[in-house]
Amino acid sequence: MIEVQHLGCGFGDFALDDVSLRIGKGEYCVLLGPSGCGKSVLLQTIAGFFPPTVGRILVDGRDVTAQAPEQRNIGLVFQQAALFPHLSVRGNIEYGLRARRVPGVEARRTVDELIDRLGLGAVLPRPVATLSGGEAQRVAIARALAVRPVLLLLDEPLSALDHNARLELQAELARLHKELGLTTLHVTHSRDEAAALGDSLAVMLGGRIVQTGTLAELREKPRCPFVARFLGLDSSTAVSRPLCVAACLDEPGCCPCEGVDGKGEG
Amino acid sequence: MKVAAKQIGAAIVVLAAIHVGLGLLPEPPFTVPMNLVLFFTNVFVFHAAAATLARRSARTVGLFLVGYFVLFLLVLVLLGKTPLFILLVVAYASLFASPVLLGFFVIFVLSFVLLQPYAFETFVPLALIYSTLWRVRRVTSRFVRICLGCGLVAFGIVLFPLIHLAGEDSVQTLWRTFVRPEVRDALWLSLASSTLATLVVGLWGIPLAYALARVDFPGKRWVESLVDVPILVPQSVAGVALIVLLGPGSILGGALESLHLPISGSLVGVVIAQVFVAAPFLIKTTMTAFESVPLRLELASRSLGASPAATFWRISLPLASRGILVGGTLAWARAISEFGCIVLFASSPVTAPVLVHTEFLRAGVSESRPIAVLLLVICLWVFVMLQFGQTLMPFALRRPRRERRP
Repeated sequence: MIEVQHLGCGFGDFALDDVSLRIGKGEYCVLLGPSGCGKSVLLQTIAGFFPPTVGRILVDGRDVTAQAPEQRNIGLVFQQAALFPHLSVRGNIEYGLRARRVPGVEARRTVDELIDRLGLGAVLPRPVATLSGGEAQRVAIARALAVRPVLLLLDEPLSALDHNARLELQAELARLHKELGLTTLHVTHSRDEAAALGDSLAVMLGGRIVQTGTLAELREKPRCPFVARFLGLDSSTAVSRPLCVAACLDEPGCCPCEGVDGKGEG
Repeated sequence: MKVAAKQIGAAIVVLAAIHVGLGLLPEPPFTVPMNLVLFFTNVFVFHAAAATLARRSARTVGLFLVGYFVLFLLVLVLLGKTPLFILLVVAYASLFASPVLLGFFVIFVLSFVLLQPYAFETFVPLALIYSTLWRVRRVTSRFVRICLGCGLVAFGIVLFPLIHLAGEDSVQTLWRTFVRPEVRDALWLSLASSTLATLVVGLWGIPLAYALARVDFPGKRWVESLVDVPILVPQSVAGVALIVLLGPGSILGGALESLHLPISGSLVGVVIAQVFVAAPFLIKTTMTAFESVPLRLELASRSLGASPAATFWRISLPLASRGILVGGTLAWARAISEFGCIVLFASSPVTAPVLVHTEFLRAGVSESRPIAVLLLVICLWVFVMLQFGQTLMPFALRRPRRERRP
């Protein structure tokens, strides 16, 4: 179980303001928000690349806020696959195991199993630089899974792919989650991905989490017009005004939601 | 334009008339046998031209005649070399059909007829430039080709003294110079000290470059500029500065000497001088190389459990290795070419550039030239080897695939 408690940090234009989030064990949580709302900063803070100024991050009850990224055992997949270009496909997947000095036989078994699971047998002999976007992203996912992370962070993993590859990989992610039951936090600005993958949703705006819940709950009772619009709901859906004001009190442009474009590009 | 048999016959008659006319002049320019040879040569040229130019435009035919006329003026009228003219004109007529061969022919005539004393030194570079331009003619615009051609020719003129120098001495002279013990010692010293200096710079320059590429701190711009200072400082100024600090009379130099660690007059002195001048080249290039390694690769590595140090060794260093090798090559080249600073600060033991200078002062250019050639050849060989070595290194950025025009 992952708990983010009152996290805050200032980092140039991107800032987090009192962000709290709770992801149950084995849950697939989708963090939804327009570009520049602080989704990626939150993800990288959880991964350990930015130290928060306030707040705590708990993994299974253990406080990891002060730990270095390499100690947290949190897998991270970027929008661009960020494969190591000087290593082979296999070298990429087993990189984390080597860094942890896992014995060769065990490492090979783990890597072979992942290659089977993700259907990477065909791309093994190819140089990393020649892989297509979808293939590279599969390798990146395998690389992150190889070290058996306690949490998998996906930073817009499908945004750089073409339509077909995106649908394929989306189905793949759903299947992997079903098989492995890995706690996952998936950042995206696409509500289709959110609807297809998320057990739970968190909607973010201006460095804050506006509303959390299942898709059905959010559809039922969107907390403010921004959430409603971002989820693609009819504007006639009832929005509970007082809550809305409480959620994004001094966020200019959020309430009443004029000027907020819910369909921001990544 | 179709050349009929009747026309060929007419043309031969015209040619014959010209040559008979030449022979009947009051003071004939050629002897009778030579005139006869020239006549048959012209018949051959005309026949070859008729065969290759049969379907070409009038403009091409005009160009052919202009080329013939230029050769005629240049070789026969200006230089008066009839046999050479016959040879060239036959070659010209045979090669005219192929533009690439014709280009080489023009360069050949230019080098071996016009620039006879520098024939070889001019022919090889010009032929290389021409073949390069010929190879890229389909994939570049004419403007780029003109830029490339003019730039390469101008650059060739800049490098010409070196190309000329390399061919000046016979292999025997070079070998006789090489076996002289003082020359061999100086060459060995130069190679060893500049390699050592490059390694020393690498030892602290690579970590510094990595830090500068990855951290922002106030005053970083100043540090980056300071790294370049040794490039700016005149070599003699650097030499004086080192003498003042480490020379025999100075406090630090004296202290080291009393510990039996003399700086000036030992290999250490040479290496210090070379480190001073070579450092910026390695650091600057290495910094750029580290900056070109995407940060997210390092983040990915750390999220997979590799410590910052392990990430440096496994990811950043291999991916920057090509740039580091480029920087090392530049630093090595700068170190071995250093003269001004060493001659002041560490004039003994004698390095090769210093030896070239002292031999020149002692016995003039004829004695120092073979040493200079040896140094040049060795430096070029190492430089080429290192350049080749770079292509074996991994490369951080995916190189864009060259787009080919249909």
